[in-house]
Amino acid sequence: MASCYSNNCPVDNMVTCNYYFYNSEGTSISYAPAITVSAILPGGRNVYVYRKIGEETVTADKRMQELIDFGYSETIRYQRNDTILINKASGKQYLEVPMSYFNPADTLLFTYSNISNPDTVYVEHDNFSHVDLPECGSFSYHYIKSIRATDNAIDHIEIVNPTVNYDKAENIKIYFYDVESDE
Amino acid sequence: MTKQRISRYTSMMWNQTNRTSRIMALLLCFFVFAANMSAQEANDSLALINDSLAIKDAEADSLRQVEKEAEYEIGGKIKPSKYIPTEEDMKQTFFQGFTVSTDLLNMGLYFFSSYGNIDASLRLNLLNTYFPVVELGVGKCDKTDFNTKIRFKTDAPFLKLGAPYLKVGVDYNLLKNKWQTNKLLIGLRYGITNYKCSIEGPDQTDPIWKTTGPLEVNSVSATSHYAEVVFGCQVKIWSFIHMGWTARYKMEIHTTKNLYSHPYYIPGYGTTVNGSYWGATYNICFDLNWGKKKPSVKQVVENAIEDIKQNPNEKK
Repeated sequence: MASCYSNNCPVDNMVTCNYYFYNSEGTSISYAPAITVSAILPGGRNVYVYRKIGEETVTADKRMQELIDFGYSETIRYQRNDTILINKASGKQYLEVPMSYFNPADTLLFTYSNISNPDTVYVEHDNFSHVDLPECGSFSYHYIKSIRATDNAIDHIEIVNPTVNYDKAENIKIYFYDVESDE
Repeated sequence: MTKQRISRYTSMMWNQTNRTSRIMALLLCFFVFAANMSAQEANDSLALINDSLAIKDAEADSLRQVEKEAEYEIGGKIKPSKYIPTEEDMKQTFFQGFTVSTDLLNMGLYFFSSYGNIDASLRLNLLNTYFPVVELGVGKCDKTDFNTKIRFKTDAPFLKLGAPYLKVGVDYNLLKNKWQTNKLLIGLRYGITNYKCSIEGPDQTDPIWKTTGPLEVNSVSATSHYAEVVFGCQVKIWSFIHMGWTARYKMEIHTTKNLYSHPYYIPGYGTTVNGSYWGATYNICFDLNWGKKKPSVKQVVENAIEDIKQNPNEKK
């Protein structure tokens, strides 16, 4: 994190893409179920899963020959790297989600507490290094080019303001199915 | 009768030999005069005093009349205690020459600081009152922050010295006596500049996606418009050389927006830490009369003949 000693530097200088929630009719809502937002990171790894009837399932990062010798079945699964950006936020009207500094696109996983299937949101964006004042350090600004999402809980999604900076403006509108407004 | 007595006593006493006795004689005459003044003579003296007061009133009226005429000629309200332009002042030509000046303070910053500008200004002198100004200069910036190691550079599209800027405006001489060599000025400037910004810095690291990339922005073109309110003075040092300072309140009107940065430095304006700020200049000025309209020889001779006709007895 860049140091800052000037009074003119912004106090809240976290650059986030702001997702605001609406129902299908376009009314602003507070989304009651807990939402967890994860970012799919580039790369992944093989995960080894060993199962045997009457025994506990074993998951390992490397092959375990001795479990196969004991009669376990082996399943190799490729697991992509991910990280949780927002953990179980409920009753929120909007979420502030960070964007990657250098990747051309972010894949976000919206997991809901009331629905088994998550939604995947895919955001394409350009990235810009931004310096307000030399003493305030550097930031990464973004310009959203396109967005798309699956439709498990999301009716549709749209870009409101493509410029992502630390002004906390509304960037993206998410319209959810079957959610009544607060009024 | 009293006057005859006084003159007799006076002449008699004045013939005494020493000075003390003469003074004593004068005092005695005064007391005699006072003692012998009758009521009618007192009335006479009162009438004389009244006459002298009336003469003074007439003089005051004539003075007021002169002042009123002066007010009428100048067209403004004036008071006797304030400066009144002479007839010679009123006859001055409209164009009084021009001044070439440069700012020493910002020149010093240009050479010895991370940012600064060099400029030259041309100021026309109209009636020693209005001064249309054109300022032309170049500004540069090469600032690296000690903590963040971010370097901000201002380049010019085609100049190595720095980015060019142009300011135009007008000054007004606030002094009552406009025709003295010193000036107290207030004025406005409008500035415009086109330049390129470059930013360099340490690599940026994404804290979530764990990727790293360079911080490097090269030659982003920008155009800025700004305004200045100028207050300053100028005093004569020697012959045509003057020096002066100005305090300038600067306001940024508009700068081309880009995603990378708001320019840290605008040539001719200064740093953009705030939307507006105070600046200063310390100027050396060369007050030149080149181009000033001078009366022709024929006109000078005609004026001299006219003066002689009007004042034939005056010796020059």
